[in-house]
Amino acid sequence: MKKIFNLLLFISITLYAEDLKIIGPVEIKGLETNKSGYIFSRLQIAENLVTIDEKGNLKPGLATKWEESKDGLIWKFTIRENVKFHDDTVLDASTVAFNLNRDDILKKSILSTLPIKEIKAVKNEVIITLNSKVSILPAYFVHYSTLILSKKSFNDGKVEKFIGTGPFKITNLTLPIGIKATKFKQWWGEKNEVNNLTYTAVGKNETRALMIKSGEADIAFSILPISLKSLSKKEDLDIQTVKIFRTRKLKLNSGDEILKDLNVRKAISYAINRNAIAKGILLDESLAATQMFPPELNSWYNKDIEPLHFDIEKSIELLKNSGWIKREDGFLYKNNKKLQIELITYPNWPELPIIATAIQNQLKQVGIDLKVSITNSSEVVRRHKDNTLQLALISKNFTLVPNPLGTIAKTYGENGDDWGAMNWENKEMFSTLNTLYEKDDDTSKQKVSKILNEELPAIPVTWSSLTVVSKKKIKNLKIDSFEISYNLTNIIFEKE
Amino acid sequence: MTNIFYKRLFQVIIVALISSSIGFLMMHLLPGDIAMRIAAGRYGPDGLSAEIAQSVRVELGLNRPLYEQYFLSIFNFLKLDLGYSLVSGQSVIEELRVQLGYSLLLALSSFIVSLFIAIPLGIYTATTKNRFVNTIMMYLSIIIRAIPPFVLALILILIFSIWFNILPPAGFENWKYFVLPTLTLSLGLAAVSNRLINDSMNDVQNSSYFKYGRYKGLSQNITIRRHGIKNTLIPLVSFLALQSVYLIEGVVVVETIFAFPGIGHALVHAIVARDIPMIQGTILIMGLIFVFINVFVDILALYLDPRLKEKKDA
Repeated sequence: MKKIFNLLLFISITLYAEDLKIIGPVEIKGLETNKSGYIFSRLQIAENLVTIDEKGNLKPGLATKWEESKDGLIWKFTIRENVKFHDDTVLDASTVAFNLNRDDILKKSILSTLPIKEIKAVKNEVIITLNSKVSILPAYFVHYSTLILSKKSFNDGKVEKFIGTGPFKITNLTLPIGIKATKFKQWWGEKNEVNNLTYTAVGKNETRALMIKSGEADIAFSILPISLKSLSKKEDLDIQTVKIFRTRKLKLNSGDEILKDLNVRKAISYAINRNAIAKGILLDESLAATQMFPPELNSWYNKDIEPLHFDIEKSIELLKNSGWIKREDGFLYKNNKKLQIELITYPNWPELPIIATAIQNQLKQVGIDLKVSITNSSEVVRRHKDNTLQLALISKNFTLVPNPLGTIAKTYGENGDDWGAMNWENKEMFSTLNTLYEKDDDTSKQKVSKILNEELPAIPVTWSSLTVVSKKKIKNLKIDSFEISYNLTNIIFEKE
Repeated sequence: MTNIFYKRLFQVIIVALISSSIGFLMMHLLPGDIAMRIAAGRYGPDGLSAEIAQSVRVELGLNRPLYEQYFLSIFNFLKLDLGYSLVSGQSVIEELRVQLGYSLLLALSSFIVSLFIAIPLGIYTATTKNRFVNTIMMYLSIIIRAIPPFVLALILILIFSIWFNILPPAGFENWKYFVLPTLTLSLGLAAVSNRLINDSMNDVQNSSYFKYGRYKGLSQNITIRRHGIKNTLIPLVSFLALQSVYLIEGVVVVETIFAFPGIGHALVHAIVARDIPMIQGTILIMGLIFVFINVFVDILALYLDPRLKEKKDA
């Protein structure tokens, strides 16, 4: 009887184990985890020491537990036992330490921002010694650059084959646009229904929309709003939109001759009609940013502060108070100098140049002459470094490390980073962030949001969302707001 | 024949050296910090910082004097050591092998399909007396050539993938995936070449040798086969060699729309990311292909028009 039951179970699993065709905009730039780890992490080909649940709480991955020393300078990660890589080798602490000690990870990944003194393996533990305390250290090991690969993946410290521990192993790789993978039967986690998967990087949104519409793809990630009207008419498709923790904002130079005046920064903020941008360009008015962090990032969202909003009269008044007088040409002048600002942006996110030109037009209404320049993303970093940047419209992800504190502290802490505040000093903010590093506290987090809205070291424009379209037969597809995993192992195929 | 080969070989060396040098210098002369561009290409905006760019600068020796980098690059290039992509870290030869394979297949199939469309159509419009068909064909050719390849591609996807649902809209798994990109490119090519064949055929029909064929009692079809086609092809062959430029230009757009892993797509990305070894490798291979096409055309022209051989011998 038991044999028959097992046989039936096997048949039913085999029958419903299906193949998936996934498409998304992200290309595979190489095998190094710091270059393309995000795609291998999302496809669950390789895994991290730590992972997260739906709400972003840390949970064990390849490490079963972790603990810090009393002084917070030594962290011990216990490595999960009986975990196999796709090449049949076994995961151990020395392999983890080898992965994390590579130059590409220590010097060219998110770990390069940490005060790491030493990473070593002792028995089945990885011990990380720090030069100074980092209370959120485990969250960094959720980042895609810290995926753990088999030692056989490397040649001379460089990744030559991508051999992970995840539920899917690569069978074919066509850089930069194709990955084929199959189920890894010896995976340590729970069984899943996906048998084979194909990922194709499709850069053009129009092509992605046409592929899912024609039935060529099963799941299409990052479908832009413009395509949704036509896709929503298809009855065999499901559309899911979730907020992601990425804010489109104006990075600004608070040391710039014009922008050091808080009145000007506020005037720019009041002159931006965020609702119009969100409705007209992103086709979702709820994405208009009223503060830096969206309500979904609930501990950081402060509902008691004055929301950023559109008020053209107030904007004109603030500029007048700062001595800017409108001339016949419709622009503002002070000491015979025109209120002219240069804004740079980049096309990695196709909506950024469009939003930039909308802002250009909106600022013109109050007499600000905004010169828009579309360039490479590296120009933001270069011009931050040589202090020639005035304004940049950027898209900033606050949850690359699932605890946003890491990113926020770098962005708005002392000497804001390349994508953060520039020449901006606020002692209250710096001490609040330092306190947060010592002790997690919602009041301090909300204080951070309040200071950001009052001082505007950067001007939030819109929040972001991610839209995923999938075939109706695919059930239980959970979209990860943190963009860490596609959660393919959760998928259940509708039985016909 | 050997002369043609040596002449073209010399050309390829000169073209490769000059284009490689120009490629190197252009990438360094373009505004922006090259190490930052490469770092942005590798790690994307989310993973880019000034410190990481500095590590890239040290890793790739971009802090060395420009002349030193240039001579090293040319020296490696002459050794046919194309090196490794600065972005993906893969061997340039390996990347070219995969991507060029797809592109060549696409280009070749487009060429062949365009000939299958253009030759019968051009000959038919030249020989038929139906002015209505002629006018329609002329306007149709103008419209198709005027439509940018990316628009033509989307129109074809709409028709064949969405309305009739008989062909996949994008991807690269089997022959079915080649049909729409091939059609996009070949329609653009055929739009021009069918008009050229039409004109060339008209010239041939008005020539004394063609008329003589008809006077001596040969039927229209036999005259076309014996005296028409070969003479019509002479200008077409030279034109098709030039059209390979259109093909390369079209391949870039078509590969992007159809998510096709080809050389055009790779070259655009390499230029944006200042991936010099990839750019130099691609230039070399493309140069070789152009020279190869020209050698082939020279040989074909000699076969089609023996007068050229006599001229050379004289």
